[in-house]
Amino acid sequence: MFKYIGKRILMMIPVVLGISFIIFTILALTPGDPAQMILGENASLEAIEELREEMGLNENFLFRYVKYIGGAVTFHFGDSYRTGLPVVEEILTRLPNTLALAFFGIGLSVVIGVPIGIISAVKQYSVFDTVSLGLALIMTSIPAFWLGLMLLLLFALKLGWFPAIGITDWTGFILPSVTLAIGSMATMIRMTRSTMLEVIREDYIRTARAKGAGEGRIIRRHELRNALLPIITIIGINFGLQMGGAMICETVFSIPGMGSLMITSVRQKDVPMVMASVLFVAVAISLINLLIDILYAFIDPRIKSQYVKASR
Amino acid sequence: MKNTRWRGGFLSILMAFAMLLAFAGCSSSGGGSDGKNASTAGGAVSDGKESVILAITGEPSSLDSADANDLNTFSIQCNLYDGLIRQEKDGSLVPGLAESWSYNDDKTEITFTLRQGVVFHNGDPMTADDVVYSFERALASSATARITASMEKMEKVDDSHVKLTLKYAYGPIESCLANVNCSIVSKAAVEADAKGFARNPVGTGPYKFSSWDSGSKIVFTANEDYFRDAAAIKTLTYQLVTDTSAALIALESGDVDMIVSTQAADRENIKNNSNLFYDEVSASSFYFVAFNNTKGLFAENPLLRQAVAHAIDREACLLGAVEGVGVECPSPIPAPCFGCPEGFEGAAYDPDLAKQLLAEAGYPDGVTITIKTMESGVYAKVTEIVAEQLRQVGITANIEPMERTAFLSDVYTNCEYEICVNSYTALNPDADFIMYMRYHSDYLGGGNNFVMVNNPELDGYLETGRTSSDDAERKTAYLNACELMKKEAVMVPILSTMNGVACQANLKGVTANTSQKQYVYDYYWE
Repeated sequence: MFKYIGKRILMMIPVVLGISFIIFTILALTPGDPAQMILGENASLEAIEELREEMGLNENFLFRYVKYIGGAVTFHFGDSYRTGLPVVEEILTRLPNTLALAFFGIGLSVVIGVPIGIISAVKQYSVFDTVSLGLALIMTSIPAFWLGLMLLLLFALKLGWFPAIGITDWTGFILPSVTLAIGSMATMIRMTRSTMLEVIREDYIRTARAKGAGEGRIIRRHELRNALLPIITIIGINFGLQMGGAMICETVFSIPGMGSLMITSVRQKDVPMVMASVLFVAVAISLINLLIDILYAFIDPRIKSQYVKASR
Repeated sequence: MKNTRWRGGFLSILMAFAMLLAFAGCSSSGGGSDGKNASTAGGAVSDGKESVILAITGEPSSLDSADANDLNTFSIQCNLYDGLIRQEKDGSLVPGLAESWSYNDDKTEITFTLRQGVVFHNGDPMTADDVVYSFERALASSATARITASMEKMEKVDDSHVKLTLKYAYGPIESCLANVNCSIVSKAAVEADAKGFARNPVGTGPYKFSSWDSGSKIVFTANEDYFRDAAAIKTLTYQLVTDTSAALIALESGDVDMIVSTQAADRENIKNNSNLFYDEVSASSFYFVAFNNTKGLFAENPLLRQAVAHAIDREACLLGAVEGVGVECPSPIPAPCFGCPEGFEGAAYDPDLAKQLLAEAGYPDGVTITIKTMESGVYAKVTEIVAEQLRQVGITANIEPMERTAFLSDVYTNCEYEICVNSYTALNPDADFIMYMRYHSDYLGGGNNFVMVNNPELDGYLETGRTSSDDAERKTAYLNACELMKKEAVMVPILSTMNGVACQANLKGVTANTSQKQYVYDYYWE
């Protein structure tokens, strides 16, 4: 088991290096000059050239990349072109908001979506199933920015229950979380339903019924337990994606998270900030995937036994 | 037995999630109170209200006056700093940190008498040394080049006098001195932490810096020792609201008190809302079609430029691109700027003449061109309308929308374009700021004069406009320049947008500003 985890962590190194190289290349090759961006359209050519020299932008591309990676391995990710402050500081102030939003959003979609999916599967083709299918279709079709604005109009402006901007306290998280949750809830419902349906047709379910197990026990112990793997995977993938921030949601609700940070940085050609954010997201997604794989072992004894065999 | 164990497990998951919610709630509210004045800024009652929350759509790049080079940053910093000369909200120039000033005979030296008893936000008195130091910093910074280009050096004469030497007599020097770039900063504070100054500025202005939550908000508090007496609004919060629709909802719900740069589409809604106050003024920027006057199709063929000039219908652009919320811009100098020729008529919209000119230019069967522009907002809309108008006269215009950074390097730096749709902003409302560096041959080729116009006659007018201190002479020079540019069809000015500002109806003293500046010192609640 530990050998496996160690191997997986080592495998992250080439992945992260590869990603860093691709992003660095894209940022270097796409048109646009960070120095020009900082100084604006009123700058003279001399001023731009001077700043390019100062920022080391005139050096060879590969040299700059190696220099960057050299800094990154010692956790020196540089200073932002835009603010002049260390990028790590900026990411650390944004991260809690992104984490909280991801927890709330995905938590909400799990707490509501999974039970709906289970009931839909158990009562297949019932009215409930049809309604949930319709709901899922609507939820997945609604654009997040529209939903966000509608929620703002209703709950912030008409009813005045929640603040329209910012996240000064927990009430500020509710509308963005709902917006996020509705986007991913449809997947959650449909995924739960279809995997449950697969499991329901298995022989061991019939066996369990035949030996007289109660319906509730069958659903929880035999069906859900076996249907859990794909659901966990979806949760993990969603959570990983959220580390890059929910850009639209963050923009509509003015939340200072990773998404808005990355958007601003890309627009401003703030190379150190983009690099550090992307690397962070890459590492976070890799770690979450690893965590899910480990979770598999705890949920599914068959997978656990594979690890044990492999380590022998 | 097993059944209950499962139930216990499920319950514990639920409880864990509830705890998570509670924990995150606590931690985020804890984070909110980090800002020293978060509690006062949140007060929603308007009785005795002394705070203003102002929505901004983008963060300033820096709070250091020597780093500022965009209007958004200027508009925030003008509440933190004072210059030797101060600009009132109506644009008039009045004594600021200098009580008075006098010129030498050829107007290349200005001697300032400093106001005594002014203190910085940190309590230190403002001295002649601080003034000299501030100017040395501004002159050394590459961000301030536009504003400080005419300045040679600032010297201390004695404890209450300083002398500014100019490279040449410069007509609009006083408006430059009133610009944020020429603010007086505390020498001691900069020297103590030069790098940190951008996020911990110390000036003499009506507000002092309190906190900056990156990506969220910036809080200023009133400077109680301000030399013009403390401001009525005690807490000023700049709240970052990235989505313009969300900003309007926040204004209507009272979460913010004011939004600047309102959207044209929201204008009627705001005006019809009796709880809100709306004001607008035409911006000191304008959109135009620019030709490359040195390279490519349009450089070789002045008649082709004329054809484009007569094919463009400004009124249709105004209606289509900004829903009529703006003004037509017939000359290359927008209306709020000094030097804008009154009653000037641009090239008339005349499709038949355009067709005729096109044929004379050697393209009786039409021609295909590529217009470069930025992909965002008004740029894209103006370009689409212009392209359609050109198609009407037989010019097939392909549009190449570009990201801002790419556009800047293609058009400004490398001059790799034949025709583009662009806009200029006058950092100071004076013609010199959008004429000299843009069309004078000294600045030819990239960076500034990217339309690549090289015309000695035009150079002459621009030089007179820059160096003359006689207002009438300057105006004539700019009128001549505009006429010449129209005759040569160097570029085709189209329109200026409106700077709209909206606030709660009981917040008084708010006015729209051509440069989007907000002088919060003048605001008060009623």
